[in-house]
Amino acid sequence: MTVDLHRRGLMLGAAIASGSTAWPALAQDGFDRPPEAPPLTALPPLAIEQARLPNGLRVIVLPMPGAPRTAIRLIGEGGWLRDPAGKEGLAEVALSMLAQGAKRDGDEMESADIAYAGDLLGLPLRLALTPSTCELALEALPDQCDDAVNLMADLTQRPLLAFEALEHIRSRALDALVLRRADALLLAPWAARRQCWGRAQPVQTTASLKRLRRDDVLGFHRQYWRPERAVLLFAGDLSLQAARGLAEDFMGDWRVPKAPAGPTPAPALATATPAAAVAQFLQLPQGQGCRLIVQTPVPRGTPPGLRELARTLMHQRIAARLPWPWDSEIESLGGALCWRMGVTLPVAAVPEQLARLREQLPQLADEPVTPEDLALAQALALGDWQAQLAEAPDALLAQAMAAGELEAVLQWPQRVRAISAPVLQLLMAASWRDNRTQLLLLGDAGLPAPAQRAWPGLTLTTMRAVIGE
Amino acid sequence: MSAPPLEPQRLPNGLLWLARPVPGSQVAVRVVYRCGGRDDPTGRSGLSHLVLRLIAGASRYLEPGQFHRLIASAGGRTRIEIDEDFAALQTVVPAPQLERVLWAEAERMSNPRLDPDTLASARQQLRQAVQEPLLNPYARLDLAVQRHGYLTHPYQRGALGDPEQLKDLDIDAVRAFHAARFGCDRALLVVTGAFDEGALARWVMHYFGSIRPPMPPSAVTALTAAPAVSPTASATPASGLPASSSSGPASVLVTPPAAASPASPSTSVAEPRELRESRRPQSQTLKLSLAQAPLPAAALVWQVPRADDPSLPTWQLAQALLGLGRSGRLTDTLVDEKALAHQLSLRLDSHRDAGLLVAQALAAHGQTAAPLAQALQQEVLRLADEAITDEELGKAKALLRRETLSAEWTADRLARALGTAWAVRGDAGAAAKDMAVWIKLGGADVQQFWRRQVVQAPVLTLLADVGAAAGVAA
Repeated sequence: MTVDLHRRGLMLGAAIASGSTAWPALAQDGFDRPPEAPPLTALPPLAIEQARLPNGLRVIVLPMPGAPRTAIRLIGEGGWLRDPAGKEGLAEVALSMLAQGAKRDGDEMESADIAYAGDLLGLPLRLALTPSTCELALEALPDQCDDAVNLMADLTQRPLLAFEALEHIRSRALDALVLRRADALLLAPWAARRQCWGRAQPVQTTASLKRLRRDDVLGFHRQYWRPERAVLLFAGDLSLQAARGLAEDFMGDWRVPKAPAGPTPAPALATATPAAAVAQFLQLPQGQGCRLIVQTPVPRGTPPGLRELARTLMHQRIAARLPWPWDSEIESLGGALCWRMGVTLPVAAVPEQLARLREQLPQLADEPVTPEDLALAQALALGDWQAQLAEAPDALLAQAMAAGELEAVLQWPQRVRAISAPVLQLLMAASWRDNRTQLLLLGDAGLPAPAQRAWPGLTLTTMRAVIGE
Repeated sequence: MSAPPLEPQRLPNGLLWLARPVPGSQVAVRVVYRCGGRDDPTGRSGLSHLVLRLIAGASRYLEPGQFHRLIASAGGRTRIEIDEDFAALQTVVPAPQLERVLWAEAERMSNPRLDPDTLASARQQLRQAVQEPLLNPYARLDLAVQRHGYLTHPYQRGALGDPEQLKDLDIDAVRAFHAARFGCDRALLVVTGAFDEGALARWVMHYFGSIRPPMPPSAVTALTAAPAVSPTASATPASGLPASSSSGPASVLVTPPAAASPASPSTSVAEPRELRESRRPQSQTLKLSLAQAPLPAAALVWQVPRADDPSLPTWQLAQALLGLGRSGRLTDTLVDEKALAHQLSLRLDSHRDAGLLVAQALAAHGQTAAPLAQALQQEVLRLADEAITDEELGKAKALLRRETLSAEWTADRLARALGTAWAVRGDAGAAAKDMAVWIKLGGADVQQFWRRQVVQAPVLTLLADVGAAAGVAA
């Protein structure tokens, strides 16, 4: 290794001579600007391979040569937006019950056997519920993929869905509900969705969980776990041929029910209108601070790339102007879009931050989108995409499929680069208007009066008003 | 982890650096200072955290926010981490941006802006970071585990610190602490991802090799006073990695907030000594009331040796048998079979000087804390008696092995794993050595170890019932 001793020697001398404490003793000179930024690398679109079995099961492979393990997901359509009215929580309970018992070669597997089989692969079985999909996820070494697909086939094609399992899962769901209502961070997304979409947004309640019967679970399972509506996704070092072979071996005999699936019930959200501007404060007695959420609806059909650039740019702006650790998302619920930003604040900071937020939000959204802004947002959107691909490519694709936006995510670099500053400006400026922005405070924000002075129109609300019980 | 060896190289100014390739399109740069909550002076809990925020905030050539803009415009992410044993800054960017990140990290290391304005801003950020976890209705139980799990060690205070102990701190004391503890000769630079080895070596030497080493000790002591923390008797390791939060640029990972220290403030920055933890003389039960928590909870806490102790891989394997995966013994019995617990965890908090094994559970509806704790303890102790089959052992090893190897799959994870292993265990290659030990361990070895280290050891029991006040406040 080449060492620039001469230069370092000079600097050592300078350090000893100066003895200054105004700057740290380690001060380094002659490096007053960063090296030139290299040109951004053009990223290719993501290439997947697909096939369909005769029973309609779709097989998708994201080839990752050299990957030591293969991530596998079986994705069905039973997301929580499919909860029937009055039986909210059914999708979650039905999914959880899959891991409580199933049959293999005529023998019953109990929940412990299922858990054991997943763990043997090195990563526990995960059950994931999104608004639109329900998923089983496993990960396996290349020579264990058959075990993983076999287990998924058992759970979805031959689940026991027993009465005792329903009672166990119901009890756990009720406990989870109690926990959610006591924790501002857990409650925030549900309360915010309710605020935005009103009763069209399904929310579990004690009553709705208690109403669930085994027949509901059986019916829900039959309706949403059907081969022609399911996707088997692989991300790893395997070919489409190998993936298709695995699918045929274990899911080839997954029969399409004789009764037609019928139209998927349109979630109420598909036609819901977002609530007008409203500001609510739901007091929770923790006494340690509160969760602040602001949100605004986004026009349906706004392309995902454009949404992401707008979110990213606004996030940068608000974090610079109100320097707290904000988080932000634009959530798609069956095509209904809501842009949400949140932060956790100490009690004492709430009034001042509310006042500044109220003043700044429209200004930040109205600021012109410069070429530098556009470049920044594009770089971040592409960087995030690369990071997600590195960290959990199967999750990225599953998320895209759940939102019905797979093609956009595959073509992400091209789609993001194609967005122009005027289009981005249009979306930014149309959002965060006074008459569309909703505010939600959850937790302890101190006495209501200072917060109400900072954000006129802020009203106290109750858990019953927000959640329904 | 496999070859090549993970010995860091030392630059002439004392900075250690280490690079490992990871396939992909990104690079991660991590700077780790071996200074964390344990090194905070008595009565100044959080000073390391504060200095970390100052380093991250601004420097001579980087105005506040400029670092984040530079990383964001490159499509990267950056975060800071504070732990009981270390403070770290980590950035992940597309590979072609590596040289710019190295410039920026060297600039933050060598020229941080330590002035009253940046101090005020860092104080505010620290206060927010301390308060955020307190929104959780079980935050007091987590605090009690830390505060009472350790008997005398500064790990009691946690890493985040106490804003009240820092509110009258002046900038000179901060500068002195920074000069003594955050010098380049106390840091490790880790670079992982897709890079050219020759170019990286040149850049490291160019940007980091030219950083001035710290002032000689005599110059530092002129700015300082007495010893920092009072060491005590015995041994053990500590905490798990910082709990997370993160999205987009500029997130922070943190460990739970600290308990207040009763001692009077000190601005001492004398070189930290080896700190020892006292042995718990006997089992103890504390009750606390969580008025706002919806379900009762319980925690059992055992002392664990320091992170470089040769027994650590055995602790890890035992913890995997009991607590890893969906089929770990604790979940299998207490959640699924007996339905006593709504959720539970068993974590091994390994730190430089001392550590804890913490079994924590939330009661299922209708249960109370005491029977839950009793059942939890029985299950933990049962590992010593109920035979461990080869299949069960193999499953636990598979879970551990996957968890360890997955750290090598992305530049981000590998940088974090290497930097943390160096700071906490004194060996960036510790994980590979752990795996070699697991292979040799049999079920009987684990059981014999468990009888000696856990069954016969005193345990701290924390019972948190909801609503009504219950006994000693923890």
